[in-house]
Amino acid sequence: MKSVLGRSLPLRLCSLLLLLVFSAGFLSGQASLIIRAGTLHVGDGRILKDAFIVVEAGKITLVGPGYQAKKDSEILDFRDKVIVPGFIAAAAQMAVVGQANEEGSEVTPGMNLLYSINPRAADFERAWKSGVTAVFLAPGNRNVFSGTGTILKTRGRTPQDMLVRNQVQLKVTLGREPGQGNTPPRPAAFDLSIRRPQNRMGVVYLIRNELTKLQNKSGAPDSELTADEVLLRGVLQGKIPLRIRARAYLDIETAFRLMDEFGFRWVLEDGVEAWKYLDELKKRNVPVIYGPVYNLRGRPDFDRESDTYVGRTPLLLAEKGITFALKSSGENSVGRLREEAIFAVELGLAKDRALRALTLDAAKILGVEDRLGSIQAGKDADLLVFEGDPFEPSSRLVRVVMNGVVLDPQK
Amino acid sequence: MRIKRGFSRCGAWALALFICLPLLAQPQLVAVKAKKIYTATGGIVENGVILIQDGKILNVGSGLEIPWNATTIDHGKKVVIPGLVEAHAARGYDAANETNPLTPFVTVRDSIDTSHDDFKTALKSGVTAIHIMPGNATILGGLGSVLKTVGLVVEDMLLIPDSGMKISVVGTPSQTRMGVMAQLRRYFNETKDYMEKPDAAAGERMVSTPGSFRSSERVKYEAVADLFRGRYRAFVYCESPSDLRRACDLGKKYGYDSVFILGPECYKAADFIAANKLKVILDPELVYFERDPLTEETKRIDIARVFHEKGVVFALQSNPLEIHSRSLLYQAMQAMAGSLNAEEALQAVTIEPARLLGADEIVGSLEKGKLAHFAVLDDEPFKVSTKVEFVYIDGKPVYERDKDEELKKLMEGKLIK
Repeated sequence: MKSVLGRSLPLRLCSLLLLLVFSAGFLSGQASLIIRAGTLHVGDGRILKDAFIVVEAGKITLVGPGYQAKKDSEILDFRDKVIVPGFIAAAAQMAVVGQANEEGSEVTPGMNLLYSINPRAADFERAWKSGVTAVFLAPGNRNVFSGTGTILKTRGRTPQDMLVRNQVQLKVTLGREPGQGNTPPRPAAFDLSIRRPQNRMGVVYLIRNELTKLQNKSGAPDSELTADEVLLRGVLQGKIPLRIRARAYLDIETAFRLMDEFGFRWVLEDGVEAWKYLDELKKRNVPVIYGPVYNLRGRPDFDRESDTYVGRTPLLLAEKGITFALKSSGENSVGRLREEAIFAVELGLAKDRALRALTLDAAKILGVEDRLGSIQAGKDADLLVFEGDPFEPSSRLVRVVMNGVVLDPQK
Repeated sequence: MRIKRGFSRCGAWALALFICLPLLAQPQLVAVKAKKIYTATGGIVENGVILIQDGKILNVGSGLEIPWNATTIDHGKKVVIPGLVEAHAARGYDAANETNPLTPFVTVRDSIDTSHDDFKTALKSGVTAIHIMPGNATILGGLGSVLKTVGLVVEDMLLIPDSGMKISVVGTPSQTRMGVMAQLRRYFNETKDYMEKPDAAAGERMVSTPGSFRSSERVKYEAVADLFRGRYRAFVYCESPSDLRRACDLGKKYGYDSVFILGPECYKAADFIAANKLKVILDPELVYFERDPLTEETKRIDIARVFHEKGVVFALQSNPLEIHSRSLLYQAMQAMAGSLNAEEALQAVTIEPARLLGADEIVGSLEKGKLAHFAVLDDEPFKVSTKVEFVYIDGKPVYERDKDEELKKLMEGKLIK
């Protein structure tokens, strides 16, 4: 009797302990992460003081003041810090293995950059350690139609892991770049390697040609079209917006003209001389991804007066009520998004407007405001914890939360 | 009698003249009032006055008595900081580097373009002294100068004509580091040999005025000889910790004093720098991302923070071409994010660079006897919205934001409809 009891008691205790350990593990797995914020910028312009964010399974489930924390919940106390949504780079070029353009043709709408992305690229780490938690990547500027863009989180093991949405906008480049270097050094005989557009006219010709071909096939069912053509039909039907990279005023005008002809939706990228068409952009409801704000001087195609306006354009866009995001450009530049915004603030842009340009408005332009861009229930738990005002260079970014995972960017 | 009378008349005139002369030659006194004066070395003076005589600071303090004959300038609601000192700049001219890698005998004074935009940009951001040097790509680059940021010709702007010798121990595209070191040693040894010759020891120290050179040998060695004689310091560009160590040893061996211009990777040598109390200027890129080739992890390094934690005192430099290092005040703000307090951050762009340049007797802080170089701000210095409203050099207002036509165009440009 004794011996049986003696054996069974420790056994029972053991099993009880095991159960406790398991259930505790189970609970902590399920338990929500609660973040307390001294100042919380929701992203839509609202600022909450001493608010709580409840995160479950990588998603925000509750945001509000004065939350009664459950005992088993993990609480991160940032009562003296400022929390903002993760920044979104609405345009970037990085992390591509090999070339960013398929140069086999100038018209490659079916290209998808997702297949060329290196998830281990240093750029991604650079991005999230600077506060950029999501990024829009599209093929380069060498083609007229260069392919569709992809929205990725900046941290993950595989591109699939990081994927937010695929085939988002179809990239078109206007201006010099698709034609640059295509002119043969001397008039050669028939040469297959010569690429088509050699100047601005050539670029516009190719766009018009492709879209007209599709218009003429409007009776044909999708099953008779190539993948490229299906995509272009999506553009004509307004399902897929064009992402038009246009810098000089004549390229922006070209885009307006094409819009009149074909009636597509579009987003203006770069828009160095967008300051000349503020009314038109507003009237046509065209969002702008503007940048870089700093140092755009001395490009040959621009009006001399543009020097005066480049830094101020974000402010002018804001005053007009045009939806805009910001971009940085150049090598290793994705982490400089906050700096671009700080510079715009230095030149007069309101801080709340600058924040929206990096968060909610960027998400809206990309069509992912259901998942990203603000700290609201139902969205991804991507947030940044700053020691102070995020638009003061002296405030340090102390924590980055991505999909509910809390990370230290200073390591 | 006559003589006596004449004598007394003479005496009266002499007496009158004696009394009046000092009045006639009364120096120009200026008193600048401000809400807050950051002195950089003596803390903050609230509701202070800067008394200036002939372009030099006579006194700084609160509640100073303003002499009756002083011109008072009232910046009563504004904040004053010392004129910022740019510790190292490869700008203000058309090209930074000579094609020949060994050109210690050249001086930037000959190539500085006083009307260059770089001076205006510097002045507008509160910089009153700028140290212009040859670029980082030449082994023995030549002599630099410390200049005011305003002037019609170089001679008007000079604060220190020969501020130091620019040296780079980093390899060039056509040369490895071992080649660079061999060339440096050979040049230095040749210079030592030259210095032992009897006529060289009595050398005229006219390095940079070509007319004074007597022989080709003098042209070749005198500039480095002056470095060895301690007339100026070497400013050595080092990219990596091993560059730093080599440059340090070279300086010890040949007995000259060095200031090290660090590349971002030199943060790894922070302990070495702290232990040897090296004089350092940090890279303009204050946030450095470093990739580990094995783990493929990218670390974020706040360089100012690393050095500050090790107790290294440093000077900051800016690079207006890049958004993330566009001005000295911006650099100071970034250094604050790297845990410096406001006073330390201000010192890193004022007195500390002045010390490295050997100019701390004349600029770098608001103290008795120094040149009256300062900037008047509309708010606290380390806020991004703060504007530089006035800049004073030698006690005179040389920049006024309200009268800056270029800026006006930028800020208030009307849209074309």
